[in-house]
Amino acid sequence: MRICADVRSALRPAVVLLVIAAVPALVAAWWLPRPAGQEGLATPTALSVAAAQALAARQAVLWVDARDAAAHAAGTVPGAVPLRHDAWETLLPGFVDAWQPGQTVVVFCDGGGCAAARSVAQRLQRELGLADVTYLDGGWAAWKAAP
Amino acid sequence: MRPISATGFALAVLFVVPALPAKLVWDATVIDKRAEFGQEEVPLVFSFRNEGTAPVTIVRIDASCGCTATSLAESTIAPGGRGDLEVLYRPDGQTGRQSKTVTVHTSDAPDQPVTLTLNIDVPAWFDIAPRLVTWERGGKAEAKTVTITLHRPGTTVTVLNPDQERLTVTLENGASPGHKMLRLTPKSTAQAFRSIVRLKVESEGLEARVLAVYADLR
Repeated sequence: MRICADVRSALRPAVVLLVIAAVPALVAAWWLPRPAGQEGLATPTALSVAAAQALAARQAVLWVDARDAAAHAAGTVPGAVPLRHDAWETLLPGFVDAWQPGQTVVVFCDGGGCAAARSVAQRLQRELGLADVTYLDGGWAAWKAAP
Repeated sequence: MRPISATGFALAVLFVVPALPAKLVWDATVIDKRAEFGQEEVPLVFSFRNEGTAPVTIVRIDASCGCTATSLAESTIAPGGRGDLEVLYRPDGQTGRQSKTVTVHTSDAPDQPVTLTLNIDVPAWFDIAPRLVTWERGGKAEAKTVTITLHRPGTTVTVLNPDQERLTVTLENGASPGHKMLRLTPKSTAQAFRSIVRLKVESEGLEARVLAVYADLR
């Protein structure tokens, strides 16, 4: 009996603190907006060249070239559409024209150390709400070296 | 002549190796910075000094992305001299925590380039998503919702072309003050169409942005 009373008296301040902390937390949760369009979207995954080629043989794939304009003009994956951060609004209509529901989007940039493909893939997920977006592991260099 | 002891050798290595003729020392190799809302260029400075006794030349600078430009007043630094590597980062619409690197190759350590890291928190002043909504031809003409989140207080959004031939467009208040909802409903799903709804987002002190939301019936 005595132990129960001790536990109760020890828990009381903790409960009071929790209630006090919950008030601003609930207000903040209501007031602060959550990022739009990110619900249920997974982080884009890397796809090897072999896996990407196998995927393209089975289903429609939309290749997205995240390299600069000169690199894209010099040579790219057949059918790839250009899309990069520094010309996003200009190039986005071309991407929307090319994209079809159900397609897997594969973004690539120069090589393995190029982060642009991943960030373009993330932005496609976040802004356009596309779920099926991946990026090419090794980029254009790996694509060219592939048999 | 007395042979050198193991301790003496270790001390010699400890003190002689750092006293190489040239050595570029960086004040910091990692810089964390938070950009302002809508900031289009974020300048950062990596300072260094030559603590060696011979001149050091910065022979090459590689940036991890095209969004990062570097400039250097002098590529050769005299012994005891200081310098700044200025880095200009352009978010180009990217938001959230951005981590970029700049690799510096110097004459004092040709095989050991120094990697400088920029960690920049780029706050979005608004988010609009999804910017592409689709319906199937012959399917149900149901409303699709585009969520607009206004992160910066005082930001407003307006629809520039609400009167659409194929689409009913309404802009509604969301559950909290920073939320708006753009509802798009096709008037018919019998024929394929593409409508572009243009949204203007404005906030005091920032350049207004006009963004397209694509509504496709395929």
